[in-house]
Amino acid sequence: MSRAELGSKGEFTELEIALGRVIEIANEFGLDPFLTRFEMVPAHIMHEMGAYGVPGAFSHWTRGRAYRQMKTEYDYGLSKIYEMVINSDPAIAYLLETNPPVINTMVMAHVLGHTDFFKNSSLFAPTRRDMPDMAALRADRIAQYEQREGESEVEKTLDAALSIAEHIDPDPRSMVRLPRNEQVAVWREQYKQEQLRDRRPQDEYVDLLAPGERPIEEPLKTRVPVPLHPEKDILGFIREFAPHLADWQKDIIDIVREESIYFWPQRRTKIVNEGWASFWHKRIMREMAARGYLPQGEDVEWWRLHAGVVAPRKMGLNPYHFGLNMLDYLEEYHNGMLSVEENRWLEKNEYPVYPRYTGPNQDSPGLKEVFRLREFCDDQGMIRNYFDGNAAARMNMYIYTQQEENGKINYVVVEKGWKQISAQLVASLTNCGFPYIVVKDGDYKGRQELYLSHYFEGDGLDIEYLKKTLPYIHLLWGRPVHLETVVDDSAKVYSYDGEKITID
Amino acid sequence: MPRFETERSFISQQDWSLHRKGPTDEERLNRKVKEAIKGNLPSIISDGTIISADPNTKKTIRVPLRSIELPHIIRSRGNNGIGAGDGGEKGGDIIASRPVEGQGSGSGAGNAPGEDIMEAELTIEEIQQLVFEDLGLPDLKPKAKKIVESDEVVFDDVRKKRTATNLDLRRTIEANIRRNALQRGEAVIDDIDQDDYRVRTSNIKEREAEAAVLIMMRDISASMGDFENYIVRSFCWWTVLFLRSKFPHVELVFIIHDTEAERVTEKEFFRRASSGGTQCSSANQMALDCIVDEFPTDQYNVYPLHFSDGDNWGGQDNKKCVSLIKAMLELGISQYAFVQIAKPKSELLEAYRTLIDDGRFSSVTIEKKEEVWGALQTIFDKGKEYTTEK
Repeated sequence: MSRAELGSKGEFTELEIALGRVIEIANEFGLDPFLTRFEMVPAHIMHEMGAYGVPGAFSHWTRGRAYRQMKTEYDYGLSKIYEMVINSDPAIAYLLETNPPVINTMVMAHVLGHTDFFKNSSLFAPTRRDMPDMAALRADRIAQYEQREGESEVEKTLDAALSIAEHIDPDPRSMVRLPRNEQVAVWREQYKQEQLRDRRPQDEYVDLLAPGERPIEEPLKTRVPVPLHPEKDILGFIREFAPHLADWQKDIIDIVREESIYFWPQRRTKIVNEGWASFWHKRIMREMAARGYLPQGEDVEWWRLHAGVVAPRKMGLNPYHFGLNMLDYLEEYHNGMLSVEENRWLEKNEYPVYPRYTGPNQDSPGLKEVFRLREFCDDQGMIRNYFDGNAAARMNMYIYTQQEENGKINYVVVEKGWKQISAQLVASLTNCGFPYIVVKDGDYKGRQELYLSHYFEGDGLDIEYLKKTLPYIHLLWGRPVHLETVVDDSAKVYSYDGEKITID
Repeated sequence: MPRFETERSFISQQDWSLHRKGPTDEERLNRKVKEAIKGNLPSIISDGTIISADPNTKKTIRVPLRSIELPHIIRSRGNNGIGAGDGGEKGGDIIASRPVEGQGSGSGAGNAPGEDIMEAELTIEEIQQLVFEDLGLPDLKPKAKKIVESDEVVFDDVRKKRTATNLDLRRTIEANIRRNALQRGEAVIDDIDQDDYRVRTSNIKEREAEAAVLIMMRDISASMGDFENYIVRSFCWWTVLFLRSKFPHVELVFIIHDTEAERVTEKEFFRRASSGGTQCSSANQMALDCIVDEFPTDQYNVYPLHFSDGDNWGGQDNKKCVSLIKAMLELGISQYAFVQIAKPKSELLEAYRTLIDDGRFSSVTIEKKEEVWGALQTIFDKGKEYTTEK
């Protein structure tokens, strides 16, 4: 038995009772979380889980690095992870055993918000709920490859796959990739249909012409481009079409790709998910206090933590702060609870103003709207649908820019208009903030070279990083790799042939 | 999946004290860090602060490790960001500021404050370990051997003196049974006595050390400027340190020369300021005499090592050097190394390279201080063996 366990038998029971009450209140509010297994852990386990994202996932030096970073920050008192929760069924969550019970009670309320979101947001429907088991099996396989192929060989492939891990296609229809031959067969058929469709309709009277005068039908092209249409799933495409990958390398790509697909909904809903969990931990804890379930005088402690978590940031967006405020605003808006000024803004901009709702809280139209949002919205959707001038004003939001002056760089407020803020937020969240890159040609110049294309939407690529990443893609593809993008308004192609980077 | 009604959320606590996944993965990172540091060795080892540091100091050196990062294709960081304040902010307000980064930091990446560049902190000793790992004396042959004490301790003796920690249980019990059998006529384990105790005892193992001598010759003529001297010092500093740590029984001979050679102490060798003309043959002659008189090659592995800018006085002297080196090789030295500093070529080097056809002759040029590491690796190439030796 560990020391913490011996010393906290009483606290442990106290927390178990609190969990029962938190669940009871959550159910009353209409939350429907997965069964959640809470695990009390020492700090180093918390850091480990934080570094892996899924318990038991495969080992890699980047995870060792994340682990060290969290450990160091914790040791120096810079930051502390309060909670870690896994999207699985039953869900798994970790609590820090050194936290006082009232803090862990709040964390449990927050976690139930997350596990409710995992269960009920439609975006999470396709995720594998048996991920921890899968992850452990995959980690075993990778360990076997290390035994067989040598650690450094496996590391090279893992490094390469991880460096482009975010270039997958999260669309559920694209998640399962057909084997190479079947895929090409599908493309061949599609290609034929597309060519026929694009033909000019036959002249009605063509049969009146003499055979020699009739226009010659051009034969259909049979050489199918690979891929037929630009392919966003770069990892999946490389897995099927790279000329020389070994089976174990393909498996490693699969593992990295599946993990990336698994985490994609969490990346897409960082703001909504954290907002949702904060929205509910606040309510549940208030209710706990109102029913006298919290020990006298311990209110301050969780309020203080809550205030820290949802505090605004002068530079950068705090998803807890933004998400919570958006949900609060949405609820108040539909319940007609806005201030006079806010209503005036709505009227001026020709938005409907709802009548003040006076019925019981759990039946309110505002709450209904909030639950609706939880079902279908991702971060971008939340901003597009619900962010407006009132929300921007509530949170005192602005756009700042960096300006150099007298040897200093100043961060200067340049814009407070909600439309500009909204546009910038939406743009920064496109494709979860990653550049949108597709495979354009898997047989470039007929030499099995890989041609990638960056969909430029105003934000360029970081060229230094690009130059360092191309060799990793080359390692997987095994033949020269090209990527076209836009630099300073002109099109550029960066290529790597196994020896050096060239720019065209 | 239907669930049992009793199934519910719960809290559990288990013993995590033996869980080691995080720390073992940290080891993977450490290995990566070590590789990156090795990649950085050329600039680390020619760094003046290391050479001037007291070798026993606990001072650490910070090595930036940009390569310990897995690159991704990312958007270039724009200048704009979004923030949330207290409501008082107006257009044009400065919300924060920071000093401009130092010039010449290379790429445009790294504008954001608090960007995390990994740094490794190494003690001088750790750096030395990394450097020495790859170095050795080429073609070291067993010659007349010296017996020296090694660091190894072996338990090869059993005594009666009692030190509980190293008690040899089996022997003790055997002794007890034997005594009982003798005294009482029954072979049983009973009444273990002071006299029965058997204790393993350690001895320091002796081993044979290969006898070797390094003859270091340094050109101190006026043409050797600050840069040249810096390189020589740097190279010799590492050489001496490396030999002392890995081959503590190797003898060192220090010779400096302008037009005349002089045998000096280690201190003088490093400190002597330069002046005068150059006759490299003087040093080579002295080295040859030294081998003949003190370090016969049937008893010693001999490694002459000569530093010069190659600016020798007169073609005649170059020829003389060639024949002296040939004479040394004839005697059976293990390697002759010539290190030319600051110049890619010289008549002396030209003469050496065209006239000496022997695998044991090795020459390198150092034009930048980053090349010291490569030169050390060439000259102290532990894997090298010559089959030409007679």
